[in-house]
Amino acid sequence: MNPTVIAGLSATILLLPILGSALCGFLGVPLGRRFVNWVGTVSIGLAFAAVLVLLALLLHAPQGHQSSTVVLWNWLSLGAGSNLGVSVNVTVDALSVWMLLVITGVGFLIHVYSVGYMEHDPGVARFFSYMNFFIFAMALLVLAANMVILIIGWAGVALASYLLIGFWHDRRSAAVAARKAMITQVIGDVALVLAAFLIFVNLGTAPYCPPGAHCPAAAGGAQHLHTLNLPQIFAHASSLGPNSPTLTIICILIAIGAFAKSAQFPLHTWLPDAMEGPTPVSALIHAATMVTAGVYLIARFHPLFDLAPVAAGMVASVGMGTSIMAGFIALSQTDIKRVIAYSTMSQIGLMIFAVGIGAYAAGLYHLMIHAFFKALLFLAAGNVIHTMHDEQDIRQMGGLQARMRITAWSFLVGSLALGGFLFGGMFSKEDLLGFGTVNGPAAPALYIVGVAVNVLTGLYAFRLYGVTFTGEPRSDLARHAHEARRVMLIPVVILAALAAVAGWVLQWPVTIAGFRPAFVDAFLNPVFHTAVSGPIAHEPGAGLAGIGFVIGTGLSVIGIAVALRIWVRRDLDAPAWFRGPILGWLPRLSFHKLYIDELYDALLVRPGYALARVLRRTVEPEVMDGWVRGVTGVATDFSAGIRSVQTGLIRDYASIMVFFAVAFTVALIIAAGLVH
Amino acid sequence: MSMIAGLPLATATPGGGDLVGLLPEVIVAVGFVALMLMDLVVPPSRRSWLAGATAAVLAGAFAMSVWGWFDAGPAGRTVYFGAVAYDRLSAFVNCVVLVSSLVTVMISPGYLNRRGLHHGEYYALLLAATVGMMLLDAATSLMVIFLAIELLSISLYILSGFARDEERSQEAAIKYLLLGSFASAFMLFGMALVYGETGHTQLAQIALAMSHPGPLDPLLVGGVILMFVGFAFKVSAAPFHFWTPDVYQGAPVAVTTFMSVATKVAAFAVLIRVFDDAFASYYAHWSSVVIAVAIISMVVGNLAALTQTSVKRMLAYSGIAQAGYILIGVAVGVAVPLGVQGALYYLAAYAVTNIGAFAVVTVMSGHGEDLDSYDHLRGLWFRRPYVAAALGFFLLSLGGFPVTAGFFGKFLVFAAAIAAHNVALAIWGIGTSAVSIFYYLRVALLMFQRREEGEEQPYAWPRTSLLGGGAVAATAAGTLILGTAVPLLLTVVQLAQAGTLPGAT
Amino acid sequence: MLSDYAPILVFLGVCVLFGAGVPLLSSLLGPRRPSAEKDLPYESGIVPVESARRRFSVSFYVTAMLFIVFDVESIFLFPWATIVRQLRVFGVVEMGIFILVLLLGLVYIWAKGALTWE
Repeated sequence: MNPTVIAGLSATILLLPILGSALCGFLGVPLGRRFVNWVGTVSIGLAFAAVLVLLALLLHAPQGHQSSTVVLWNWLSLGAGSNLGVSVNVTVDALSVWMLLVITGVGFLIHVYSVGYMEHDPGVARFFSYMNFFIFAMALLVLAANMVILIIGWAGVALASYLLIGFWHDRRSAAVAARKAMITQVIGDVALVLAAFLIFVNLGTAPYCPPGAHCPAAAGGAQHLHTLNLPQIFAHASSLGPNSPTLTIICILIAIGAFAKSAQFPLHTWLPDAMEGPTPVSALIHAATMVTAGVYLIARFHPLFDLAPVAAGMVASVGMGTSIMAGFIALSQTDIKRVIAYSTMSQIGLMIFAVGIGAYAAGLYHLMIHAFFKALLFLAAGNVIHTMHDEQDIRQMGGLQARMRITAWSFLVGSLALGGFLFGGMFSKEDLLGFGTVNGPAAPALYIVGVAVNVLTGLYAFRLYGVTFTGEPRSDLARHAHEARRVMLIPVVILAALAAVAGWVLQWPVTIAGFRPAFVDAFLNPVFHTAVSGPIAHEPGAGLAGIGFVIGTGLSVIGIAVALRIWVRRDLDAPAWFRGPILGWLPRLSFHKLYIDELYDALLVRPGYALARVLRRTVEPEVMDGWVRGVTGVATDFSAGIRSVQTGLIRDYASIMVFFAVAFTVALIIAAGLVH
Repeated sequence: MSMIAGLPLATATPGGGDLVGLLPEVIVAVGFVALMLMDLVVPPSRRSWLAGATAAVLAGAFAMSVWGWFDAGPAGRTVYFGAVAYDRLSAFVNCVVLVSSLVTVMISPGYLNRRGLHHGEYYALLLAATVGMMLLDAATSLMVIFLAIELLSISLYILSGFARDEERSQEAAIKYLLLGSFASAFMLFGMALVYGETGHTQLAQIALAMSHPGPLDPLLVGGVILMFVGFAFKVSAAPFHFWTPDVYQGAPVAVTTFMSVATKVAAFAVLIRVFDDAFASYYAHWSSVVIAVAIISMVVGNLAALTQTSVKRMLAYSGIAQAGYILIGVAVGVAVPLGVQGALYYLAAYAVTNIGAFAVVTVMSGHGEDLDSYDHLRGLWFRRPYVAAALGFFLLSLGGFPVTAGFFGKFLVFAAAIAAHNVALAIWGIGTSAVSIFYYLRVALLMFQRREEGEEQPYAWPRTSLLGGGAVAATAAGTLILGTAVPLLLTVVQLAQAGTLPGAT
Repeated sequence: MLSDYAPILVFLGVCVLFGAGVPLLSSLLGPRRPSAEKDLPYESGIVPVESARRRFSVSFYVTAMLFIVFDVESIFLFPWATIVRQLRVFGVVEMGIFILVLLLGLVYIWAKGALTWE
């Protein structure tokens, strides 16, 4: 691949959204809504076109040349031999292009949808400015080939998320949710920055020396690399040795960063609250792209995780644990967006599980499919909310199928794809779980949990569909619902088509035995099967994969069937046997989100406030203020002293000057004489 | 007669090649004389034409300096028998000085009109001072250095007293004149000692003479230190800074804008040329004094600024502290090239930031007295949001916040100090800049303070003119660019450093 | 090296001794009988009639400056005249520019009215 072309295209992908953001932000208000709508969407559309060109180049690149790292700009270099340089390097390979396809492709559809969704909002210029900025930051994040740049992108998406969750900043709940999201993100940012420090300090060039062997080069001590360029980091990942505690710590820190971004336990509580943002934001940031950045991060750092099995195992366990927890909570939520949010959390848990067991391609496969159907579900839900005048409680809905047919059918496609029957999720989810049968800590323990998640997924997906769209309308708003505008329908329909066919196309020809997505594997695996990477996941045998597929899909269908039996055209309460004393605690636990928010409140927030109160009432005035006042007092006294010399009289100034000039000269002459 | 004729006489005369080396300076010098004469024919109501002509002269000189950067090449050369350098350092500093001058010309007409000071001499004197600065940064001979310093100083003495019916302005002028002459005497004495001990006035030969191994010469050390005292006065480094607050406050603020930046830049350029190159072999002897002056400047400047209540005085003390930071780069510049690069970067960053800050004060100074008291800034944000935002940005840059020019200036000089194994110096710098945040942010926050109900507006801010607003916007953009596009300028200063002393072999 | 300057140091010492010693001697030995006339400032025998801090017209200053400028010009002209043959055309042009600049300065202050005595 020609480096100049690659550099040009990557720069285009980065510059178009940031330019769009600047134009909308600075000129949006004076130039008006039409300008903003056009600039905001076209910039992303053009970026998507550039990504498609990159994809074409990548597909035609000869074997072994499918990854290209180019330097866009040497941002800071302090001369030869200095390690303080930072350059904007980008890596274009199957992984980054895969992510870019989702970011700009789905992003473009959601931008188009936003034109309709935000048509009455006075802050539309601000909205598109933030959205374009998000696309920029996200593209920077996935293109970055240097950890500094990656962290800039990483923090940039968190900023965009903060701004957009709090987009309606005059709502208290939105402001609080934005703050919560930001604080959680910062925990992850700090972890990632610490990981970068550790990598910078520890990673060396000494070759990996197997235990017991005689390695003279290693005995001399590692030559420290002091670099944050990802290709170099990966090339020397093995220098720390296998099962190195340092590498494990680095990987755990990276994983914490990923957990914060991807809303994994225990850093997951911000995501449901983030639904305070406008629905297109939820679709773009909190479903399709930003929250999957954690999956990307672990996949990108796979050479490190491959060498740190303990950390990888932790990642897999946390992912699967989050997945079943979120699926359970989703069962009883009543806010349409929150149900989808918990389902997102659950699905991302599966992806995190996949990258944790080394099934990177499978995880990324599900990432893309999930982006399609989850964006679809959110946008369809957005249509519902739009027509319901911002009512989000599903208990007020019902019977919308007859009133908004296209939206309802699209939602049904999305629910099937999510539930794992016929469409999208059926392929990617089962592929991913198939790897769980033979990989991961204590396999197939996590796989068994995974198929249980399938049941839950089918249940909550069709509970949501049933309660919202079938039965009788339960409020006036629902009775007067109507179909959305065309600009909001077209993206939904396109996404529904993608969710419906993507699995079939990517996996063609579909066979049950040897159930593997050949195209996805061929495209993505070269990134992960490199010379420097360690062993990655074992592929399940053809028979095992086939059995797994049948079991997984079967359980999904059971979940869907039970949901249809309970909720379609019925009322919305839990079935009778869950109201009794024996099992009654289950819905309560689910409804209260396992009491995790309450737990954090009791464990962290309240003690934090209590500590702060103690600090403010006693420590601050007596301990801190004392020395702070002391220091400022000294500084002020000193300042007054200096001012008192500043008499305003020339004779004083001149005499001080003479004194110092003479003192310096005499001192130096004497010193020189002494040396002499 | 025959005796004189028999003396060996340099009959070589300067040629076109020499003139090329001085072209930007010549342009501004001719412009100076021409503007003096234009003042006689241009009617008083049309004085802004003079500003336009001045800007044209400066722009022409700027273009010539840029051309000179490429024409002189990486090594550069000296012209007029080794008296003046034609190299990238002078081209670079010329550009900084000319831009500062240009910004001053942009903000001046409006300000001078409001204050009733719009006399034609202003522009001529500004150009004269600019010529002096340009000669100073190119000077490679003690004689030229002294002449250039006097040329710029005398013009600035007059400009400081430009508000003729204001006692403060008169006081500033006389203080500056007396103390400046005083400092010139020190410098002249130092030059005499250096000349006496080495037998040369040209820096290249002085460097050669000083690098000869032989018994150390205490008087030469004395000469070097006295010259440093002279320069330290010009860059307003403590403890030779006493004139600075009084003069900056007394002089009309447009003049302060100019002299706080351009003088310092030019004086630092010659300081780098003389000390980091010509006197490099005496590094061990002078570095301790430079380090001492750097630390005293940082401490005195920052601490004194803490308790000010006048914007101009605060910026004056801040300028003293900034001089201390730049001196860090000068002090370690012989040992590590990054020192000189950092100092040059800092100069450009300081120039664009400080001129921006003073430009805001100038643009916001109305009829009557200058905007000066902290109180005058209260609530500026609610009336002049763009100007207030710009001032806040400049103050952040002076404090050294990232994405501003000031951050990288500080970063580079501190990095140089650490690279030179002088960590203590870097810690002094970092510690004092932490102190500086306090007074910069204090002023910045004042602008966001709302007035009490029914309270009078503290100061009648004038409307921002197109030119004034343009100047503020341009300097703000410059501050942002130098804070983000680091390699741009870093490459330039690396190239500029290559030949700080052409002709020395 | 440094010892070359020893005579200067001796000379400096003698100066200080003499300068400080004579007034000291005079105050030690001389008789003191003050009177009103003796306490007056010495003004070449003329009795002072008003404050010495009197303002002079600024025109004196301007005239003196002009005098010095052209004085210096003529001082420059003398050494130039001795080598003007060797310098040839360049020397003439150079000095022409120098005189022209000074001349322009004269024109300037003339036009500004500095030469008219009010």
